[in-house]
Amino acid sequence: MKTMPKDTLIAVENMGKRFGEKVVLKDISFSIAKGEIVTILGPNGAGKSTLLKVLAGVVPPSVGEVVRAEGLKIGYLSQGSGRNDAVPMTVKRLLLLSGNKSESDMQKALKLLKIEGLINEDFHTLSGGQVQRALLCRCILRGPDLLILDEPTLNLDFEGRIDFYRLLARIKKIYGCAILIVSHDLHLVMSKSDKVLCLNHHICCQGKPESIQKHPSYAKLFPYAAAKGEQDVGVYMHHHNHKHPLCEGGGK
Amino acid sequence: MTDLFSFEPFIVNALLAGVMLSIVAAGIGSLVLYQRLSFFGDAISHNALLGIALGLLFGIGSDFTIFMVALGAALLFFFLYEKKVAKSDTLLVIIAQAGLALGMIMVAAGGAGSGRLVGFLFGDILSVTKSDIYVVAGCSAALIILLKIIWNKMLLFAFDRETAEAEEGRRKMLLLNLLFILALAAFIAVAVKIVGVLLVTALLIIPAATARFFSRTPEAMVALAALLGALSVVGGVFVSWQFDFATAPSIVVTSAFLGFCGYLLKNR
Ligand SMILES: Nc1ncnc2c1ncn2[C@@H]1O[C@H](COP(=O)(O)OP(=O)(O)O)[C@@H](O)[C@H]1O
Ligand SMILES: [Mg+2]
Repeated sequence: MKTMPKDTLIAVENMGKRFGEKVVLKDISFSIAKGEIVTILGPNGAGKSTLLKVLAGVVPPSVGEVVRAEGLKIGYLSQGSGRNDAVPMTVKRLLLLSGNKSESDMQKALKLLKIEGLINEDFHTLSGGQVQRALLCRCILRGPDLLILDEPTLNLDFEGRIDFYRLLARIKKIYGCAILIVSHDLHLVMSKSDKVLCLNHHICCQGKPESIQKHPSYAKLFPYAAAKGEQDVGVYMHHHNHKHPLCEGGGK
Repeated sequence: MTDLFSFEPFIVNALLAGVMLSIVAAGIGSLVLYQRLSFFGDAISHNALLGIALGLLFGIGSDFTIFMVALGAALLFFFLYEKKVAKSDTLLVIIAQAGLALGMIMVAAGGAGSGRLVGFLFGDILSVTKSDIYVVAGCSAALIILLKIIWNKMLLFAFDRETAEAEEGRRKMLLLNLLFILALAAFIAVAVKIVGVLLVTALLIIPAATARFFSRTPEAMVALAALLGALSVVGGVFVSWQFDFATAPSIVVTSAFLGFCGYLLKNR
């Protein structure tokens, strides 16, 4: 086990992940410190979800290891929207799946997420946005040190997304947890992040949001967003002029 | 109507055993439904006949041999599945049928006539003895305790596998799943004597599936499934007593009938 700086919650160094022959992640090195908001950007199929699963411990890495702070508590919200509806579930029962919680703790979390009216609803009849909030509510009730969120805004409209990012800022303030989030909402999410990671099987660039936007890799990966700037929030395209030896069989 | 109330002791034993098993079946059956393991349960219960045959052959109690064979069948399935020998439904049919066929041959080889074979296949709830009752009671209590220990985590696993693995760790979830398979094998070993190799999955699945129509939480579902299972046992024993039908099939038909009523009630 490697040692980490005191403030570090989780770290990987030269981590890699293969599925059979297919190399999905390569040479991944980064760490998340207490209370940080880290955003991962990248095109579809870049390995973002896989990276989150490796960090969350759902999938073992093929190369390297994940080093966690002692007793680290992770809240993981996967990308899949529906959950197994063979299991009958109300919102309240869902919250209690993480152990016995006091009524007041539950109410506090439900209020923060603005879903206190849903407590007795059948989970399987909730809308996409309500599902995310209910699951997130369960996550924060467990008191995590690190929230790992995989494209939580995918099913939300523009207003919903802005609302969601405000909510994340409040969660961070109240519960003090670090947040790792995958998002396609480049500009919405950037300003609130402490660190941004551009991923396309390997880390193309990482750093503070301001510096990332000036990074040549960022412009290559997100030419549309980089060129047009703020007015292009929500528009996202990946142009295939960014060749990777790794994913395209050795470049040319 | 008087004979309705002048129950023979063997009827009382049958009812007691059946009701106790229904309660355990409600919990295990719900988890089987949540994980969509109905055919898995069916396949390993068919192999119970092989367990009975081994018990006869070696002259030891069949509870133990059924348990071991059921576990063996479960592990064989996971092994072949991991090796990608065939799709899971194909594997399950092969394991079920091969185990059943081998069991039939070996039961005959073990010297049991076709009369006893029918008893093994369809159960013999009316021959439950006092000592069987103690075995059923002890196993039921142990299984209920085990279920209670793994319940919340297995619910989370069935509801959202990745979340469970992230929160509890992959290794712990694997262990809990193994415990659950152990519970399933133990249940089959105990229940097979009473409802038979072919009908034991019905006891697990039908009441739980009926209860799902009306349940908003897993616990409500288990409670209702236990009630429906117990009703099926009492109703089935009564029907078979009145009309001289085979008992275990009467229980299963009663249970299916309640399921049909449940469906109508739900979709009124
Ligand atoms: N369990 C798996 N088995 C095989 N391939 C997988 C598995 N999970 C992901 N992949 C592959 O890894 C690549 C990256 O997937 P993913 O991490 O979901 O990308 P992203 O979230 O960035 O869109 C995809 O090509 C996908 O097909
Ligand atoms: Mg993804």
